[in-house]
Amino acid sequence: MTQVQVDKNALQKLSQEYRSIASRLLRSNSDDGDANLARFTDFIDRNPVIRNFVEQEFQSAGIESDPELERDESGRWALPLSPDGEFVFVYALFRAALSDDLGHDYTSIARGYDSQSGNQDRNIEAFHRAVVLPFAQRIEHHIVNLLREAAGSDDQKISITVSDGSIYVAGNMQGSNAAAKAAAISDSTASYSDSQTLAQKVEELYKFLDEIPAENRDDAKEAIEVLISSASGQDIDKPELAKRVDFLGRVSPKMREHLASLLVNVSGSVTSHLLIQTIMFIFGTPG
Amino acid sequence: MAHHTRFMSIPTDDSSFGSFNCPFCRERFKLAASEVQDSLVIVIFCPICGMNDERGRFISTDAIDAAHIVGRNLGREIVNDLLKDFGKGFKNAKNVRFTRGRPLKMEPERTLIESIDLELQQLSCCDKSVKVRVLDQATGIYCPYCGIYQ
Repeated sequence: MTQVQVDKNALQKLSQEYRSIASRLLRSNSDDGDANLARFTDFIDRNPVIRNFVEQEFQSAGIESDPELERDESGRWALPLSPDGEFVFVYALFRAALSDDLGHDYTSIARGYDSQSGNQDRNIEAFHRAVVLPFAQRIEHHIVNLLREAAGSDDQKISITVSDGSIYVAGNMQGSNAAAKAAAISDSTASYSDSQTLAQKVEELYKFLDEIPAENRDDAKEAIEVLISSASGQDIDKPELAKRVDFLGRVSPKMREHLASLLVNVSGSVTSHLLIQTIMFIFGTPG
Repeated sequence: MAHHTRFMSIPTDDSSFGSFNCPFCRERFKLAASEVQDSLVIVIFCPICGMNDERGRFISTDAIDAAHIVGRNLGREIVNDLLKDFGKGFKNAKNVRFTRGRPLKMEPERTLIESIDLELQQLSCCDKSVKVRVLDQATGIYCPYCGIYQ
């Protein structure tokens, strides 16, 4: 178990970033449902505060293995009546939808929610309202509760205990190093508002170079140089920057995590820096 | 194909606030017409659930229903006008006769009324305001313009 300190501003940012990803999933249709669901679950699994909540829900629901994903007579998912049971069921459903168990087909998991119209996108909309929104709101309510708690404390901070364990779903352990991620969030609670700090933070990407395949290393190095130039004020156009950010995010999950962390405590004029805006654009967070 | 446009206005209450509905949670809230019409406002955050979408997706269900009636009536008007002189084209034709039936009947259009309800809350983050239910005020809301939890 690891104790991490999170301040009010970091929780505000987390809430905004989380709602941006959740809204994107809620706006999905049959074309982009899979990709947006992957983004959403990835965000949940990467963030120690949210992961911790998911783990708590698993414990409180008394679930140790995969819940049975069954449909009722009307073809809708047979969601458990208890709020934590429902939460765990939907989380398992999302993970199964992204694995081979449910065939990577967002349209099929949303099936049965608007049988009258026969329109796939309406069906997905009804599924979002009945299944996805309550799940997404339960996480948001947790973040808001932490936010209130932090706002009520003298130093506007709260300590959260993050377990080093993992969420057990779909027969495997999801991302086991929560403590390292927690430490990352603890380090990133100090806000920054100048482009010099932004450039320094971008430079930290170099430390992940060894962890990416050798054939991508030169391109990654070049991409980091472009990002540092942009952070230092050089005029780099947005498509070029977007290409480099996207590349780094694809070749290294740790670089992606680091780039996303740049958005967490940014403040002042740096918020509108082209690099920050580009990272937001690529990773789907609001401006 | 010709394009036909018809404008309709959405009324506001006595303090110039108009109703909106969240496309996700469907809750109703009100925003000041002058503030929400600002061209910089592209995305709106629902003050109740905090999710966001394009401004146009928050148009109230009443206004959308009223617009559908206006649209259907416009279609009927076009068909009626088209058929008015349709028979003239067959005046000298030996084998074709055209007799115009009754014109399509128009649906009564709905008059939108903005009720005077919901509580005003000032948003210090964006120096704007929103109207929500007292209950929502008590549990905390999100700024519809920047998404910050109040």
